[in-house]
Amino acid sequence: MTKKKKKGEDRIGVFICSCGTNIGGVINVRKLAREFKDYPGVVFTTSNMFTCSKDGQDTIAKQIREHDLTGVVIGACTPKLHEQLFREILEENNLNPFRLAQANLREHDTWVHGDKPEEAYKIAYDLVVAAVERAKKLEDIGFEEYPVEKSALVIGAGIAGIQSALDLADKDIKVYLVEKYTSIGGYMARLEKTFPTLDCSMCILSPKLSAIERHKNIELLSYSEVLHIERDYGNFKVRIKKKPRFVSIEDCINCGACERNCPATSSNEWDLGLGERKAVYKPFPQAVPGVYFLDKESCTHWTDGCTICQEKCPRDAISFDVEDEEIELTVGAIVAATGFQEMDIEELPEYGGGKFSGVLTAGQYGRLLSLVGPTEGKILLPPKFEEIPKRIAYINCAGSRDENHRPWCCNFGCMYTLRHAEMTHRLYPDEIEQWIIYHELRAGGKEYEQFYRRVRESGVRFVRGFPSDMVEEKDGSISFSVFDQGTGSLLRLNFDMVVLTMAIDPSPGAAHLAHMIGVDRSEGGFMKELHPKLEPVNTKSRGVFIAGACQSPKDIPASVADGKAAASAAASHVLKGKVRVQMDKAVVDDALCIGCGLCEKVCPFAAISMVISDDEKELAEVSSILCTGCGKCQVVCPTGAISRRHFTTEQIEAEILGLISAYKKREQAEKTSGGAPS
Amino acid sequence: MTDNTDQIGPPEVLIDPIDMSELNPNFRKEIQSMPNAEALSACFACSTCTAACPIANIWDYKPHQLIRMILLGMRETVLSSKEIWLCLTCFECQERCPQAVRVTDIFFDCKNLAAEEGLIPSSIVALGKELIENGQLYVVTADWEREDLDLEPEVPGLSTEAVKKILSETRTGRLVKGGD
Repeated sequence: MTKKKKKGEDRIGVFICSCGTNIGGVINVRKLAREFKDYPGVVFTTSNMFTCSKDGQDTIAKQIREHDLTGVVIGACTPKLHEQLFREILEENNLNPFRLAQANLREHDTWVHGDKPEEAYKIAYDLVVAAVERAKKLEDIGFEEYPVEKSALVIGAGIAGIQSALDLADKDIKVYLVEKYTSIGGYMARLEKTFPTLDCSMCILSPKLSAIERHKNIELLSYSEVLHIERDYGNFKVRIKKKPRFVSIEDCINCGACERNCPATSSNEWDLGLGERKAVYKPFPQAVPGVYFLDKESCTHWTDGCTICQEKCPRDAISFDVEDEEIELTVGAIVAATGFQEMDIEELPEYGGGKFSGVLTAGQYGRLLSLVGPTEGKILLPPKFEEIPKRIAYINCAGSRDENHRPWCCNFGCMYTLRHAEMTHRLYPDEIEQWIIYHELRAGGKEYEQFYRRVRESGVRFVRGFPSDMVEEKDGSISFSVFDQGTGSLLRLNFDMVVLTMAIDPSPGAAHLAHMIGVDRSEGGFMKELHPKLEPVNTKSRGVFIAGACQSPKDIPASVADGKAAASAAASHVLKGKVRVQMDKAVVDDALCIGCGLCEKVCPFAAISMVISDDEKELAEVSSILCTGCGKCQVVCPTGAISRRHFTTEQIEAEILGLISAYKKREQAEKTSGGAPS
Repeated sequence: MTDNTDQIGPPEVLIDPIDMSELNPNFRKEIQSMPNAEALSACFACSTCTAACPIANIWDYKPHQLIRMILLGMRETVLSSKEIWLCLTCFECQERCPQAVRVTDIFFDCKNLAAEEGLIPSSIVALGKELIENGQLYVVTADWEREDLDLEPEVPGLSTEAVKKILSETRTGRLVKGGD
């Protein structure tokens, strides 16, 4: 049965999938398969109920071997779903995996033209013809293997990055953990308690902070910034700036003499702008590294020559002659976990943001509740912090779910507002009356709903609606109107303190970092995952992963889960030791290249560089590792010197000519027979 | 610390807002301390009670609004509302509340509170008066109905004296006298 293959002869197999009723319910797949019986170059044609099933796979395998196929055409669903599987079947049967041409009969035809089955059949025929013509032009393409460095860089040491670093380090992978702030811990370290159990935040976080410091596989780079990343699948070259702390981590004994005597102060960023701190300080008692730190911005040494802290230090731990230090690393994988920030309160003047002293962000309110915060856990009215407020309103969704500000939900605002109300109720059960102004309350997590009920029962008043017409009264209290949907009445309410559940943005610098690591960003600037459901921590950059609130606002449990997931994904990338790269990339024909550099300019992945050849000619050179095969260079090249393998101009033209010829053939048949072609 | 005379005041809008000073923060505690009202504050304003009520279409304040009003402290509005007295006590709302708020029972509590403050409709007072005077609302008469059933004309052993005495010496009596 098997005929001997002549050189250059096309031997194509056509497999049409019914996909249950997805395709077969609209067009007659058996009839379509039969039409290719005598098509030039086609030696086998059939239809299946499910080509992706074991049955379908076996049929393809059998026919490749029996007919010694040179190309496989599959008319089925989108290549996004099963192309990889089909390629593997080709490879297993000694046919190069790139000899596959898939016609998308489902998404491109029967799903969208299901109401016109006759027209859909014609389109299906045209698509399969185009795929057959393309299959005739396909070439063998190989793979190359590249080594992967057994180390990882984790950027951001909040709870997601910490968890990721610990999990990676436990798998015996060397981890570099970079944090831009002086201490690790992130937002979770600012919290007094966590919802819904109200357990102490630092009590559950600080064991992890210590573990980071003590783990032999983790090198902590605090107060450091990533300057540059040279992208690569498995050997990222990273340049990091270590900024000077001026207080030696090794010598400082935490006596605090420097801070007590320091004359310079600055707004306390750890307390989100509430209160002040000294120029030399320690942000919180359990900080890691657990020593003092001198902030050059607020220190007056460089303006008036002050050296008080240096003189008071009993261990000579302070030195002003320290410069930035740059280090270079090579890592096999990168995990970005840069977290979030509250939207700037001044963006909400309608809620008195930045104008009324009694209006705080929820983050600031959280710092008031902290025993190591500016008021040592007491709720006191800013700016004097002397008086306990009698009435507090929490305004949920401040700036969130608002087309004028941030259209997305901040995800955890409802829950931490409930936490604040519950904590305040426990501290001041009778002194403070609390009102929560909300619109929809979202408590979707384990035991979250039960927590919500507990807060309702504690006597907090809930008003459903958004506030309007907010004014500051002469006594400093704040009044606003709200139409309560529950009672159906317009209320005019007055409070001493208003706490805004602020909309959530990605951290500053996330945009710059995303660009460096080649990760797209989605609405609001959050980093974009490869697939929102199935690849939540992978990104379009191979070897680069994301975890926590840099991807979208996330609470602690979700950030920890993300950190673990990213560590797992990064570990499977790193531990293989090598990465297989398919070579369907751009290639340059040196004879045609005129060195114009257009391709280099348009390449979004910095994969093309201009090099001088041996005969002094400027030529484009493509890095196969960085090239993603997008094809932009092929389009702009004025001489056709650069081509994207597997999507060459010749292959695309063959496809188009196939479409045209199928159409022409049908037109001809309709003219001669006066009816539709069979 | 808030001095109302010092306020800038609400903006000009077509609906007059209810000022916070008109709200009684203790009202919810007052109701909650009465029988079967413990779960009052569990209400999350889903308005299932209103959807279940067979007569809410003729109410100005729907059942869920009354519950929310109690929670916000609109004491006067709730206690002087006609709706608490119009309630059929069919218990549909209470049966269906997903948070186990005993809505009908809470309306009974409201009626008791309202009655104590003289906020009681004259028709209800008239019924009370009838009960105290006759010991029953519908006096059974010796007419053809009993005769047709072969019963003796008078209900044997019926005495309303004890009922009249009890009612006149308890709240009903007090309210009827006060109502007069």
